[in-house]
Amino acid sequence: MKNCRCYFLSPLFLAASLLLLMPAQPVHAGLAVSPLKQEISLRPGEPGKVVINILNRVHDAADVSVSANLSIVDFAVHTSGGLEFQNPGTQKNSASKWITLPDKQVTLEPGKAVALELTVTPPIQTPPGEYYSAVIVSLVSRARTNKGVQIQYEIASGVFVTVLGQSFPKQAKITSMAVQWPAPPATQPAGAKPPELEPAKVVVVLHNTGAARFTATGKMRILGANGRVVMTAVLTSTRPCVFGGDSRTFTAPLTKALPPGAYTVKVDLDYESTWTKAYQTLALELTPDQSALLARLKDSQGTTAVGVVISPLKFMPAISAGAARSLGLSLKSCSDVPVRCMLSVASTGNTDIENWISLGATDLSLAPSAHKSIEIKITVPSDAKTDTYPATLTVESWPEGSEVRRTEIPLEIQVRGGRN
Amino acid sequence: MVRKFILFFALIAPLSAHVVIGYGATAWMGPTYSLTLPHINQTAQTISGSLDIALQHDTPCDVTIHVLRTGGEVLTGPGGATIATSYMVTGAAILTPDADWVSSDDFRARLYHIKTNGPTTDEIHLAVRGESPAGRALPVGDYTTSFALTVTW
Repeated sequence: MKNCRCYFLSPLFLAASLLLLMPAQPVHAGLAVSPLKQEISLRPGEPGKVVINILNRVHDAADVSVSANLSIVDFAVHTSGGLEFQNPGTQKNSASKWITLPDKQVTLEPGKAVALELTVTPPIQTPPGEYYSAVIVSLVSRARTNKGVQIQYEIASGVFVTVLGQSFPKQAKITSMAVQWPAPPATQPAGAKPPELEPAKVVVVLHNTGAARFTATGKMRILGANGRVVMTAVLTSTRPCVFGGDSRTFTAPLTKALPPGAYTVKVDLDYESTWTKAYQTLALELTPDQSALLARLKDSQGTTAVGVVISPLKFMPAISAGAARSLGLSLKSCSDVPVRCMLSVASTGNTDIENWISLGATDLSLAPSAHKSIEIKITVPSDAKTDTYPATLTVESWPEGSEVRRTEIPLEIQVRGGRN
Repeated sequence: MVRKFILFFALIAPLSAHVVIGYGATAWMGPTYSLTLPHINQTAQTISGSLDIALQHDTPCDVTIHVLRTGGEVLTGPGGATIATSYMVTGAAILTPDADWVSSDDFRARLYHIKTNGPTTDEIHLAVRGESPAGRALPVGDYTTSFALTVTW
């Protein structure tokens, strides 16, 4: 009879069994990675260094050492701006094969940091251009569950490599433009809170037809049948940096209640070209249903600007017929990133007074903590009747990386000494 | 003397072999790596759970879903049986948080833009829901998913 080796009675087996039977304990994640993205310019065949810093942040006394696996991957950027990670060397503009990692795994005690020096060497025959890669830092999980969701935490650090030797012009064109209306909300059970309405929006797809990446910014204007601007908005994207050959979606919400009728939507996108922008025009026939929807959407939206402090919030100038007066609008940045501001004015009464008003600036960028005063010059025609003429001055503010918010400032011009 | 040094470095900077420019730092602050869901033991059963995850960052960034194996985002049980899985990611710092449950297919392609500039720690609320079908008995047991949350530039 063979000796029966009762492994299941060994102390090691019992300890392992106890560990398996214990419920998964919460374990803190906590490796900080910097930078999130870095750019390096090199000549073909020339080695360069980039550094990725990894730190095990201290939370409390219960902190433990944390390990992370490192890998180099390619990535593709979808039209929506989302990233998809792929195997190294699969993208045509891949720099992954040129990057050497000093270690594939790091383990850090609480409070300890490591600076990983990566070597980037474009092969000698590499054509000039822009190449990309990402270093994925994956936290090695200590807690496992077989009863639900297992989450792996990762931080991707982008490495953008420019191979020197030729400069490429920025080139782009708009490939599609449409107004996207929200789907009707599903029927809700009685007493349930109605779902938030998605805004109607103008959706524009910009295609980078060149080889150089750019960061695009743009604006949209809606003109009424008489050619007057009735609404302006900033076009934004979740990822405004567009690589050569890629396309990106930019959107602008329709935030104004417009009456039914014919309109023209005009967009322009600045793609950092020194001599032109991308333009597109779209005819829009607004139906009564769509007009009613815009009114409902406007009611559900806030009107507070973010990123800037605006003053005053109402103007009531008294001006004699035939006279002119200048007012000042103060814009002060309270953001720690640049804030883009767009200003427009529209009559809200029966008389068209937009051509009475000129703005000192309609599109400006405020540096962090900066202040600008915008002149609003009002020239009242000599044949204007004595009356009060209302208009709305709209300020759209857009801190970098945030959504656009609108502030509407009432402007009531009281004309004196005019015709009765 | 100091001005001469500054002038010297300003002149040689364009001649140096390469220039590296870096932006931003981020850290996942946990708290946990896993979310336990109840056992599936009947037809037409809905299970759900949620988890708060803290993300520390000093620049606006994005969070994407990185599926580590085929079907990793779908709750899978004994014998490879799957149940309808949906997700909802919310949080004050997310530019467009989910207003409703998102199917696992759509979740895989979602991009959540963290709009705050930082340095700050933002909380991301991840909710998961599984629904067993009404007219078909599935193997009784625990159903699991596995995917990566990746923070990107």
